[in-house]
Amino acid sequence: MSRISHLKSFFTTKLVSPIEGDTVKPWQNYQKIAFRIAFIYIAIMCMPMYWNFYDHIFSLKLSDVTYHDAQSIVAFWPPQFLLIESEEGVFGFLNYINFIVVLIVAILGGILWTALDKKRPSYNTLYYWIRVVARYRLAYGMIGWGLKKIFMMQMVLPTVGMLNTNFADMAEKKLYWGHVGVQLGYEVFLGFGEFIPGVLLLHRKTAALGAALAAVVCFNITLANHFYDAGVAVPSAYFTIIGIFILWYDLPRIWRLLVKEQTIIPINHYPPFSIAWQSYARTGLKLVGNGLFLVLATLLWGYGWYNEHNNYNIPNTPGIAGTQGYYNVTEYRVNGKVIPYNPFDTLRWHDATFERWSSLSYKTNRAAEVDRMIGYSPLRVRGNTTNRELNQTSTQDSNLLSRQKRKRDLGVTRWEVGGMSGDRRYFYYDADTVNHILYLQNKNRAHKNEKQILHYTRPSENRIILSGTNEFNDSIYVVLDKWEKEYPLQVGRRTLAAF
Amino acid sequence: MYTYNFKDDKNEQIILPGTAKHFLFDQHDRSKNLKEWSSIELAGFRVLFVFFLIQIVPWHPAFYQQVFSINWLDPHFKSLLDLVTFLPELVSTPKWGAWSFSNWFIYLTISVFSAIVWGHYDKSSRQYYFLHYLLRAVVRYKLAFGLIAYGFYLLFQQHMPYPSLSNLHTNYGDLFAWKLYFQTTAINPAYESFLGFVEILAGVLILYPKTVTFGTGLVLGFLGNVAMVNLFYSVGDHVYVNFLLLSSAFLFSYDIPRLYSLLVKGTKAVGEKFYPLWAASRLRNVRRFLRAFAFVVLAFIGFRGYALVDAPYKVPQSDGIEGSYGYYIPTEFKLNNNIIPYSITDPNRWQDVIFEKWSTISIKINRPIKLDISDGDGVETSDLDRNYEIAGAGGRHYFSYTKDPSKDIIYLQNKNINHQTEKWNLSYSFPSDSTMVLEGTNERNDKLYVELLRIDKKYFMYEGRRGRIKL
Repeated sequence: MSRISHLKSFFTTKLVSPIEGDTVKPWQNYQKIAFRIAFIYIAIMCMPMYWNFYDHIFSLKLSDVTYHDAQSIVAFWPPQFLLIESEEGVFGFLNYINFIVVLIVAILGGILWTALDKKRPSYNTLYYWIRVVARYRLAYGMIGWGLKKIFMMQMVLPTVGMLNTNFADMAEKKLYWGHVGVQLGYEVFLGFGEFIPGVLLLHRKTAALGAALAAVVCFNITLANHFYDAGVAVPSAYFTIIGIFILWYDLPRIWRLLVKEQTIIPINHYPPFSIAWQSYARTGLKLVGNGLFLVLATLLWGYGWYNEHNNYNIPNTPGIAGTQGYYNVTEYRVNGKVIPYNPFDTLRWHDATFERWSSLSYKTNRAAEVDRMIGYSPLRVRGNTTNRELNQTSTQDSNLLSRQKRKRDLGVTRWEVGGMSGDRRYFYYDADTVNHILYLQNKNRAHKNEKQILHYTRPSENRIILSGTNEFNDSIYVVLDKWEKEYPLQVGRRTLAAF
Repeated sequence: MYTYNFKDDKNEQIILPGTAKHFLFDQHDRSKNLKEWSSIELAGFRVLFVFFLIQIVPWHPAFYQQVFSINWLDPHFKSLLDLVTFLPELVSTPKWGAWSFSNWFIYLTISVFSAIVWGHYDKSSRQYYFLHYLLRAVVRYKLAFGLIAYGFYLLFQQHMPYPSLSNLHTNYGDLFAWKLYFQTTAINPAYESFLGFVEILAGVLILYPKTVTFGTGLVLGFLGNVAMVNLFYSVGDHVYVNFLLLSSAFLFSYDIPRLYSLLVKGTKAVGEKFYPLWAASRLRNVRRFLRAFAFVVLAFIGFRGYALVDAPYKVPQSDGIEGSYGYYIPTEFKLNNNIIPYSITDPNRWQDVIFEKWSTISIKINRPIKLDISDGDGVETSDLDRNYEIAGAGGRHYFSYTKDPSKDIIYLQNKNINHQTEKWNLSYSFPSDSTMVLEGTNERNDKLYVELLRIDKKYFMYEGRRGRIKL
């Protein structure tokens, strides 16, 4: 057989039918037109359509690969031909403009195609292949987002600062992410709710079930994103559309079987893969794809989880041992003068927290420009966004910082600082444990120039005394006493306790 | 005598005298008798039949107690919901852990035992198509009623009412997980309503035999999630939710073999289902009447739920002091004429005060609280007992108050069931628009004098993240 016919047979499908002598039925005209439009639409949607994606792939270094890379490959955004940098364009309905643009392109393409291709009786083969593309695109995307939750990284446990912040002093998105983060077991469950549909989509036979589950899950995520201004409504809606497209193939049959109660003999068109190299190619592609985006991705996320130094929501510089907790400010002096506690005071600390990692926070009655970056931003795929008002993208660069061997923790703020009211300030510190000195820097990018150098002593296990110069170059002296708190959130309602 | 037929067969009837109970026939192949069930299928069905009916048939006296305790001229939505979601309990169970399912274990034991006896005396039955049909119908209605009533509960935002100002002013860590979950959902009432809509939609799909599988498919995902939330956030409805889940799984399983043939194996999928022949019989009208009646009852329940929209039943109803709503910081605080300065550690000093729109104030004081561990979902007439606002919320002390009609005096009582002996009398005055003075005695007859300053606070939750903002 010639090479051409080898290739040709790859692109034909065989009728798989239990009935002898059944033939391929020609399609109706409207079916053909609808298919041409849908084909172009889904093909464009499933293709990464912005340069950042390819730049990223070509700049990958094998030695540096982390789950970040796995995720940014599978979680690529739908096409962004148009960018409307208004509130409606970032958070509202206009954010869907590109879905409409692609649809218009698909309709125009469909008309052209119809004019050029009049003879073809059906598109069973193309329909098969576009479903393959859609299935794998959706499958790897769902697996990626699922792994993020299965390994408990998308939402993490509340910080000490968060536990001691009023409910309404957080952005809605923070509250939504936060309420999942308080119960990691639930997050894992949600993760499997995405991972399992993804795995089901990898198999032709279970694709309908996987697509139905994925569409329902993603539709709910889309709505939640709108209600909580969470910013990834469009990518979830995009997954929903692909899920519905895949399910569409089986939906009429399911309807006839269950609602019309008809007995059905399904007729499927599959490529025969009858020639050796074809089935090798198929197996090989499957192995490579699943090896990278299922097995390797799982390993990378698993490693990121195991090796806590790499969690994109949690800083990795350890704090001073044994300091984690909530503190009362027992004494506070500025330039030698004692200042008593006053809830209106804009300088005196009202309280303080130390985290497990190197972070000190304190509350005052002084506002700050808040960090609004809680998760990803809808416009991040375009490097050239100009509207920083709406689209604050620059604070989440821990991965970049760590590759440049700079302090990655200054870029890990999306959980601790992002979405939190500004009257609690969060400082990163470098601890000189020999001379007992903390070099502090405000983690909030809008206030990154706020730096303090504080000497610390620990006269007892629960007391920390800080002295040195604060961000206004005043000399301060602060006595902190640990407040052994039990939190109802952590203790739970199943045991009786007083708080 | 029973007659059976396929629903699609309009005119034909085949009456099989005597043994009709054991015969149905196949639409396309009438010559064959119906497939007999395997002995495992027969035994399994007997167990399920008893297990479901024992929980659905209203035999328990408590059910009738509930029925008669309702004022049927003006029934409360929550009482109707409780009636619709009633499951009989033979023994009272602990609220948490595996033993909260004690009644299930008992019913299962009874079911297995009955199935053995039943199997012993009924050796002639080789299938239970008719009973299966009936059981499905009963389970469908029980499930649909529960879903739709719960759907209204959410649709009209009664399940998770909007959080009070005090709840919004509570530290994240001071809320029980369930409360946090409820509150996070409730800040977007439209989302809560959407969740209710999904339940109602699923319920309606389940009321029609042809769409049961779509309804239960939806519900398996939805309730699967709710069951997990119940487990992880200790919501406390897990027994009922799991009953619904089990019912859905039972109904859904009917179509699994067909769907498996169609989608996975890609072979012939048999669509015919078995229906008793209602045609030309009065039973058909009975069935139609019953479904219509079900819709009327459900519409009535929905109507009662809608009546609560403007006055959520978990929230106190009497108005608070006019113009007092807001968040205050006590700028001066005297206990027995001694000034106590600002402090977050002093067990007497008030740190902040919130006046709700209704007659509740909450105060932040550094004194331990034994939290109200209830769900706060009872139907209560007195505002003191409407405890949703304090259920699962620590960090603040909540007082319900009544106003003296003639003087500017309020009589306060701690809302927390564990601290209800705390009763205060306070007079109030508004020296200016933004200040308020409270004066009176607490439960130990200590004299209190408090000057409050109202704070116009901006909240990140309301300001949103759509623009640059200082907070």
